[in-house]
Amino acid sequence: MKNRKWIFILFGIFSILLVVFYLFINKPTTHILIAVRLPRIMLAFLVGFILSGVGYSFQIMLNNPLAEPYILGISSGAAFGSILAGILGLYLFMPLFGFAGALISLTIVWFLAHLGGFFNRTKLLLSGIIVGMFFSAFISLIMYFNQQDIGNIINVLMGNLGHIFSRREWFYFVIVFIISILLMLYLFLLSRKLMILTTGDIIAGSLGIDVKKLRRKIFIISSLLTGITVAYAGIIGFIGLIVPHIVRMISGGNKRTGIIYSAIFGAVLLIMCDLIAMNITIIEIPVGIITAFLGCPFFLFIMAKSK
Amino acid sequence: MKKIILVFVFSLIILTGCSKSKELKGDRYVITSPEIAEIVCLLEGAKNIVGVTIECDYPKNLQEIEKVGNFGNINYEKIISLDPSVVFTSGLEQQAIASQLKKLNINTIPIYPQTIEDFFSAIIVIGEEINKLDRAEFVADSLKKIIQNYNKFTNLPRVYIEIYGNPIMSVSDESFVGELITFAGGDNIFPKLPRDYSRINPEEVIMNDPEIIILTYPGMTKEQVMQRKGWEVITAVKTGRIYTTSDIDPDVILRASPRIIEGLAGLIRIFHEK
Repeated sequence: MKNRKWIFILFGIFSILLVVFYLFINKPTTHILIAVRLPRIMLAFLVGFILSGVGYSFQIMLNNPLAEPYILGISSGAAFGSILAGILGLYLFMPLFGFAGALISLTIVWFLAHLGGFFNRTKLLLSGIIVGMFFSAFISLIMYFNQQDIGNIINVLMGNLGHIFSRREWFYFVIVFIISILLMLYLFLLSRKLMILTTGDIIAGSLGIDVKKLRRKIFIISSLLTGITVAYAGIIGFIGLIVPHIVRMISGGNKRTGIIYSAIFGAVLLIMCDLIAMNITIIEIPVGIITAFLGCPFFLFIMAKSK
Repeated sequence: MKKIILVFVFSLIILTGCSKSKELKGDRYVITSPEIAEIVCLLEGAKNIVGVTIECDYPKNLQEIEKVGNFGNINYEKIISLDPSVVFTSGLEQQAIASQLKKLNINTIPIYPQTIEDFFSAIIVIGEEINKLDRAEFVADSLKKIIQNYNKFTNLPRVYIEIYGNPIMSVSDESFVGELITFAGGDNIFPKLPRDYSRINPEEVIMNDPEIIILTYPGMTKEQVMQRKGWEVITAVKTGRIYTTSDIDPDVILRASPRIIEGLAGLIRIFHEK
């Protein structure tokens, strides 16, 4: 479709301009460009990439258009971990505790989803929501008793791409970056397989087992990836929910490459949101607020279109 | 008829009894702001303090006094049960607490000095309220004289004060700490900020290249600051002039209390030592 080609070209140009703008706004020195801006844009890219890709995958796996990366409770566990480290003054351990929180909630959701001996989408969804609520309650408790640390807590709950890396931490992050991209590729393969199996005409017993196995794998990989994003950047809503829908609207329904387009578009969108969040007022506002403001008009647009 | 007279006389006795007990109550202070607690103690009002918040930790004898909560969470029932003659509150989030207390008909005085001038006025206001006006005026005058002897430095090093770790926050010249920095002969790299205590952009810290960094909160070490990616070019990091809570007690520069003398001395030592 010629239309599609134009969209790609425009998007490509937009992305390049955006990246240039992002890196050079406010005229940073070369040192700041390399040491501060570049890491930040890499983090923004990774988080947007993961959240949108995982969102697309979840919407297929759970067969639910409102599914998004945080729906299975991992984000609450990760946020809890990060916040715990923050209020204890262990600023350097916030990403580590965050990821540990993600692992713990992943284990609990996994365990709950298998109670009664079988595993299906509904149980997974319910377990995820329960675990999410549980950790959110804990976060509220911490918030109440640590009001002097409300700035730190808001940073985790509303998203913050300005994580200050220590030099060693940056080295680990580069490794995490590479591993995440590889995991995303794996997720792409799994999701494509799932899509093939679940949109086929034959629904047989053995097919059912394959689908179950796939869903499990997708759940674990996605949870690890989501845990990574929350550990470094806190909770950034709406990207994982809206971007898959936008991509589907442009490409017309679930395509096998949808997850890749979703991931790339999400990365660029988040970089744009971060650019706005940093520069719209004198003080930086949390990027989650910008993405939230995107969500509302988006859904209005969907409603208007679906009439 | 007799019954009515009896009831009438009985009521009169009770009513006069009530007002009498108010006059005999004596001074009972509840203080929810650590800096005001320090001022009241310096003005010799310590023996009348019946309730404080957990943050009121100086002087040490305040630790034995009943606690009415912490900065954001005040137990109103506790305050009422202590039957205070006056409650001193702070500003900011405690404004809501002050209006709540006023609704409960408790004599509440919010005091939140934001400049050194405010601080001297606060001493007088407190002195008036607790009947120690003479001492208050003496204390305020003495402090004024000591402080006015400062602010005569020529070589002002660039200073970055970090009051919070995530997100990193600093102070402007208009804040209380900012004024102390000026008096101690330092050049705050953030003279103007959207608020007195504000979130800042780490890029700006690198660009403004402070010669001295002071951390006023626990948990962050000098090494951690020196390890921050991109911060290695900052003069303070290169020379190692990064000071934490073990070098200077943050309470003596963050609180508008009589201990600012100690705070100023500490800052001057840090800014101008060779």
